[in-house]
Amino acid sequence: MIKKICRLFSILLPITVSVVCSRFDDTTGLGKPIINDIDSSLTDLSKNFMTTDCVLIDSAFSIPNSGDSIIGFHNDFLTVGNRDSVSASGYVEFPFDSTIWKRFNFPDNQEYTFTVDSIYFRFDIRLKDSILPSKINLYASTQADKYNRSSQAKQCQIATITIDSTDSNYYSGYAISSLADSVENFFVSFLQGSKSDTLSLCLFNNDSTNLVHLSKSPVIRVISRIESNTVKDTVKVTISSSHANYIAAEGNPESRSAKPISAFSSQRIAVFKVDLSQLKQITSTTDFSNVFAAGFTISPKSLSNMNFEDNRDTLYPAYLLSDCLLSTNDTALQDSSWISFKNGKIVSPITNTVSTDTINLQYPVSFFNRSSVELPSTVYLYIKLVTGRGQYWREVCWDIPKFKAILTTQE
Amino acid sequence: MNPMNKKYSFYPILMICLLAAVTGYSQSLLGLKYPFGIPYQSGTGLSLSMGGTGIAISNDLLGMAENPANLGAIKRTVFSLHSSLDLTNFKDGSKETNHITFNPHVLSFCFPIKKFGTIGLSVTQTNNTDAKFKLDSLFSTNGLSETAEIGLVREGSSIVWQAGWGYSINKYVLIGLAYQRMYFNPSISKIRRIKGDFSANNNDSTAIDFSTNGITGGIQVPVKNLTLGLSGQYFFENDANLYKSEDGSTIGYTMRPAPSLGFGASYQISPEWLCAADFETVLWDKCISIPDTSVPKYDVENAFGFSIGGQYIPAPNLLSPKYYEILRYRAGFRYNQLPVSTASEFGFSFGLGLPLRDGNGLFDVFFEYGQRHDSKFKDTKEEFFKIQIGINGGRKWYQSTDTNY
Repeated sequence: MIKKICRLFSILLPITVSVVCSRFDDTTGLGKPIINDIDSSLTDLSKNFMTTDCVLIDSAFSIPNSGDSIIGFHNDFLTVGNRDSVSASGYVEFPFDSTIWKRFNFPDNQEYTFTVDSIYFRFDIRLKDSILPSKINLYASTQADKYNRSSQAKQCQIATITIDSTDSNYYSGYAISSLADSVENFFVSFLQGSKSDTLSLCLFNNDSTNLVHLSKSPVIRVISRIESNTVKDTVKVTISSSHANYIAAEGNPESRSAKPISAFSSQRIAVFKVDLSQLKQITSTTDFSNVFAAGFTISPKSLSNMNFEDNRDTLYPAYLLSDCLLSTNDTALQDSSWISFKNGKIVSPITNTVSTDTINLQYPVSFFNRSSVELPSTVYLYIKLVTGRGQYWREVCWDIPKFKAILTTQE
Repeated sequence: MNPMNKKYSFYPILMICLLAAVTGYSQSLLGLKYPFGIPYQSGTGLSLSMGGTGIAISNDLLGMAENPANLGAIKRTVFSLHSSLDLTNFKDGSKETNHITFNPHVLSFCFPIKKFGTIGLSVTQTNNTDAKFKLDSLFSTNGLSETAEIGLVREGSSIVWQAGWGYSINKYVLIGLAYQRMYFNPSISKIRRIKGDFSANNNDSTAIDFSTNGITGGIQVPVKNLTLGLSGQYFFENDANLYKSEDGSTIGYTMRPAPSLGFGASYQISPEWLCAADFETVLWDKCISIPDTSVPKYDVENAFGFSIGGQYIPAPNLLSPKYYEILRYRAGFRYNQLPVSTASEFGFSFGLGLPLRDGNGLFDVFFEYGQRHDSKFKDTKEEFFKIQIGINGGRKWYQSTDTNY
């Protein structure tokens, strides 16, 4: 009997206690007189925190991304076309190295002829817009055009691809015959010197104001014939691209610079000139000398090229505060000082030109908690849309941000 | 140990282990006013269930928890383990909060060394500083919605390791002496936090690192059925370090815990009845904490306390008793001043000692209800209810050759 009681007791008691434990409090907010006796600041929140929004926004504008030209560069994306006075041109590379050549199965130890009959291009569409460009022009290029399209990029057109008539999910077309001849000639030089090379192409849409986002892995198919005394084969080799990118160039940068625009395609950066003089005065003349949390709340004033499925879409803004106005060549605009929203910020369509979505741009307090001498009275807030997030052609014109800060006393 | 005893021992130990997994946070805000927090009653299940008496009780299962001289009465190898589940209700006016935690208190081993006496080893939790206070409020300003919190968290306890020796001088006097090593490592954190559209967290903490040596000694004089006991404890002054997280600085200062002295008496009325009473004082005016403006300063005064208790065994000498006839029925009461003159606590305890078969051990389960109050804070009161369990066991490994034929 005792054994049973002990066993039951020893199991039931801990289980009961662990269940009822959840009903107990971890902390208490009672006993203020006792706490007040120890430290009176612990019982009065107003002695610990003060809020302020004393900062003014002097001006708002935007700057191009980087370099001397007003372009945005996007790796692993392929967009071609024109929209809102921004034009995008694509660039792809196809490898022609020994691995690819082996796939042609050239016969050993005998003479043969190799003839390229045709070269076929296929570019799958990644994201469909309502109206697509009817055709895209392909130009033979070099690696000199990889990061910036030179004036030579449109010199040698080799193909025009159009939306496939049976399946509207991709563009396709055949290269001009001279390209096939070039590939044959290239083969000869390859056999002689085991040379590997890359076929570089630029993509432009010269005719319309429409845009298409293509898959970053287009393919070409080389249809060839190998003939020898013993072999007569038609060989088709499909080659996937090894690199793709696009750049977006603004056609009318001056008109856009007057507005605080963040654009994903051209990587335009919105800039706000911020006056911190009143904040500096508060922190230097009151007990609340320590900035505990601070930042900006901002709403979109207008949104372009969003994808409002289920009445919502996601923006990926990144922001940066700087003591001075940075030029587009400054490394600070390119480095990791930017603070990003990892999971993006969900926004809704703007109705009646008013956005109800507020995005909180909290900034590390170490920026504000510098000495009065170190912290300038004027700083600049930069906001851009982060690359590599499938943002396609999204663009935001921001409303004037509001500054918020919570100050505390020094310990 | 025979299989039956193994099973009986297994379940209590299992229960203690399972209870140890219980998470919770017991606390005392009043303890924030005392340098070492709230003092715990020393002792094993036997003494604690009798209100904390034990200075003048000679019993194997007491070890040296109340009086090192008790080691002189121990003639077999014994161990004691004691823990408690503490439920605290904190009242402030009409509002209250409830807290729970599991606290291990003492682990003790005693080994007789034939005619040279008995050695005892133990580790005991003697004080607890835990307290968690938090105040929060929602505020919104200019479109910013935030919850601001401020809080004070104090954690840590003092642990005393003891190694002692006791001896019986011709059964007329029992003496004992023990070396003690005390460790005290509390931390105090002031927390500021905001949560909401913006979030931030600031935790300024200070941690104290202190250890020191001490000695405790005692004497028991049995006179027929009456036993008188005297026990005292003294710690030596030593350096302490206070670490501040906000600037990484360390401040050195000196501390000495308060010495204590106790006097007790027990009377074996009959084989069935035992009663005891203790009176003790903690000399807080001898506690040293040389202040620096950065070091917490406590205003403390000498504290006195007394306790009385009794034990009843229905049929201790029956050859074939029923189980309930050999249970130990215990009850007690204690009153203790806390380190400030305006504060005190009292407690009622009652419980059972459940013998393990063959008399090799005892399982203690008992309860204590009490209150803690400081007249300086009239509207606040702390009520506590402790479920305490202990397991004690022993075995005689050799036959004493004291008897001369």
